[in-house]
Amino acid sequence: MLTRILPQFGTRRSLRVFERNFAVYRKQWYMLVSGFFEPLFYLLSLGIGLNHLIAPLHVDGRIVSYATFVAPGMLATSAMNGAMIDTIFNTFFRLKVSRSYEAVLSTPLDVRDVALGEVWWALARAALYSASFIICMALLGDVGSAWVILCWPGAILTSLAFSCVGLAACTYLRNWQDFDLVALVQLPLFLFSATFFPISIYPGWIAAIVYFSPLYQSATLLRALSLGQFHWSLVVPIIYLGLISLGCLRIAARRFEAILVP
Amino acid sequence: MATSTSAVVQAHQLVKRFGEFEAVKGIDLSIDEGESFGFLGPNGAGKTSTMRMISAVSHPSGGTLSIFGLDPTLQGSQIRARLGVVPQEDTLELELSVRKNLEMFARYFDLPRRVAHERTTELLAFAQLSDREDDKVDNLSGGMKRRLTIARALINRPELLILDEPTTGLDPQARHLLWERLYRLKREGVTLIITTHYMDEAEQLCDRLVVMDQGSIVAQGTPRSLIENHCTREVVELRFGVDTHEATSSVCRPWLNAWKSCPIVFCSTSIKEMRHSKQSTPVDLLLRARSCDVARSKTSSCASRGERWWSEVDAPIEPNLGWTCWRRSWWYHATFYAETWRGSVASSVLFPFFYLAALGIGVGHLVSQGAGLVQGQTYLHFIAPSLLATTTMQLGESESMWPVLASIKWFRTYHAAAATPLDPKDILYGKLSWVTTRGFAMSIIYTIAIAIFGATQSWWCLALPFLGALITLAFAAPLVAYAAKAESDVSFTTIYRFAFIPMFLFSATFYPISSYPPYLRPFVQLVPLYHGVALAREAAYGTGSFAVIATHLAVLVAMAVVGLWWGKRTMRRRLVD
Repeated sequence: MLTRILPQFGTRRSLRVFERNFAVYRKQWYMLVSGFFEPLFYLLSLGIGLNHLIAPLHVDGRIVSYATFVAPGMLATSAMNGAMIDTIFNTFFRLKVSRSYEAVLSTPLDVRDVALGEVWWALARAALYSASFIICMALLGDVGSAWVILCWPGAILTSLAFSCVGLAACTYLRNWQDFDLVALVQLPLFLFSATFFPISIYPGWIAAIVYFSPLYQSATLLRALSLGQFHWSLVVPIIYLGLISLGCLRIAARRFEAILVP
Repeated sequence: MATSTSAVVQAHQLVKRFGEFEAVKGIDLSIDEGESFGFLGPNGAGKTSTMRMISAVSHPSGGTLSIFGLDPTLQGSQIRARLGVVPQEDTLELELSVRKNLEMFARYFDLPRRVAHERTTELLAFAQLSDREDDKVDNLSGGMKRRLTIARALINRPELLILDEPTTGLDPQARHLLWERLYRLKREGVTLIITTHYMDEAEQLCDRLVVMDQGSIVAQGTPRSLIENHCTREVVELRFGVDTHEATSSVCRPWLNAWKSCPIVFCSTSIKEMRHSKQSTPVDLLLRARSCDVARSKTSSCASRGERWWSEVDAPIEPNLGWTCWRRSWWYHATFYAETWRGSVASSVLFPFFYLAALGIGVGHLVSQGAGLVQGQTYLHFIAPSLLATTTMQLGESESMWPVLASIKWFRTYHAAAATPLDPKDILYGKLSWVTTRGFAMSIIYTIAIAIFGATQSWWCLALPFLGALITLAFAAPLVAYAAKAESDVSFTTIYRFAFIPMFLFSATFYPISSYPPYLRPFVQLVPLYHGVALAREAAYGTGSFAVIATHLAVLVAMAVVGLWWGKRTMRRRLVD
């Protein structure tokens, strides 16, 4: 079964695309390192300010500080932003501007390998960034339990879903101006997915819409993992994000094919 | 499908359609092993579409095609493993070194690193690039890049090498060097497929060729037989004086057409000659051996060159060289934006409302329940002006780093502008005034949003758009100056991470400065954005003493002035010196 499904999404050769990206970015290693500071700045600022303005919140019967409440939401947001920026900008550049995929496709690699290779790369970066985010959370005491370690795979799953979304989205972009449209989706997702306030402040019908936001699902998952509150309902975000990943990767591979192999 | 053992490529009634358009209209081909085969024809003849199908990166829409006896639709990967492809445009990795480009590419063919390294060394010698192996590809000349692309196509020791216009755009020396390398490959038994516009190239390199036009094969054979059957040895080009070209050529044409021994092309004289020669007889008769190609022998399209290409009724326009030149650069940006505004206008209008709703109402809801309420105001009141300040800063930043570098380095539109009467400083002023205009427009929308959310208590809020424009300029000016001297965008990410994100987070934007411990507050006051945020708050509330407002204003104005002064220098250095 698995051997029948997996080739639909590319082959082992996709790792070569990962290698190619690694070679390009190795020269810019300090960019990766500097990524460590971003969560540190965000969490520090939070600790200084809003944490004092906002009283501790009740989450499933536990009282937690605002910083502890919001840190997993920020982790989810940073996973989303990182994955989207990486796939959309860089892939668009390679697809339409530098056209370096065309050279790749004259080798045994095919389109699905290219799409999958980009996902591997996005995942590797996500693993690095989310690990540093979780370390910063722990350093600043914004964690609810030792189970926070499970936020790592959770954040990687979030990145996987959004890289696949980004990969599919970038094939629809026609020029650089269309990036504004990406922002038009990404920003409301960021602002209204109940990442920095509980969903309970919304009226019921808005909450029902927000429930479908992948970022909300991810934030729910990461928050529960960070606080060590396990519940059967956690399979919902896992399945939801998993389905988004597979669906979008499939779309991305098809669209890549339409663009690169007309 | 029957394939003879020696045929590398076999096509029967091959068709390629793009929607309604038929790029290749049913061609038959058979290319043998070790042969060097050419496609000749003008742009849009269907050469590249055919080549892409043979390279197994484009599926045929009809007919049959087999490469090495394999089906490209189903066995593309196996076919491509045995191919080398030199595309029309070099698609090299500009960020990587020459050597790394080849080694990287070898990995796509699953060559072990050691083998990749050895072959790279060999191929660099073959392409005469050994001494440049550590250079970035960006720094190579056009001919070198082309040789590197060919070397790259050879990394898997291909049985079939496909070259799409290998020498277009190269100077004669580079062209001959490339030909010489291709002869060597041919001698080694590599099958070559070459497309070209030039008969002389086809004659040099190809054993056999087909001439394509509008998707069909119009002629085929050896170069020699094609020349003998379709071309004469000579083409006569007739040039007349410019004033008399049409008259003379129409008089001559019937007379010359009777003379069938070679094609005749009517050419106008060059611009320089136009001024001097008034002769009504042919000023020169060029007998040009061997430059004919088949397509040209059938046309006399050059005759239309006799038409004047400009209209003389326009009086010459004296360009205005005064200091207001920058307005033209502003217009350039404005026109460009007018063409492409659709995507960004929705976001510019909606984002202020989104931010205020999510942060002001969403987070504000939590704050009002908490202990530390801000100076008797709601959190929405508190955050609204500072969001205006941070958003205009972000506009100034995002419009001036990557776009300026792109205009200078990648698209070179600033160089094009500098070749007109515009000075580098005019380009700078035009860019900055445009970004400031956008900052102003965005601040108006923000001010409206603030008013709708009831987050202002003073008529001073009418000053907010001007303040927003000033903040945009204060950040855009130094950043444009920096971007104009940057070599790549690598440092931009560092600036973004270590200057803009901290500025955004630690400028007392989201909480009052009193949240900081007293010893940190002076440092916050050193952050430029803090002054924008404080000023916006004072305007929205109508508070603040004259001295305080003057200090904040002075900081922002100083940033703008220093940025302008520095930008004038970096722009001039980049574009003129």
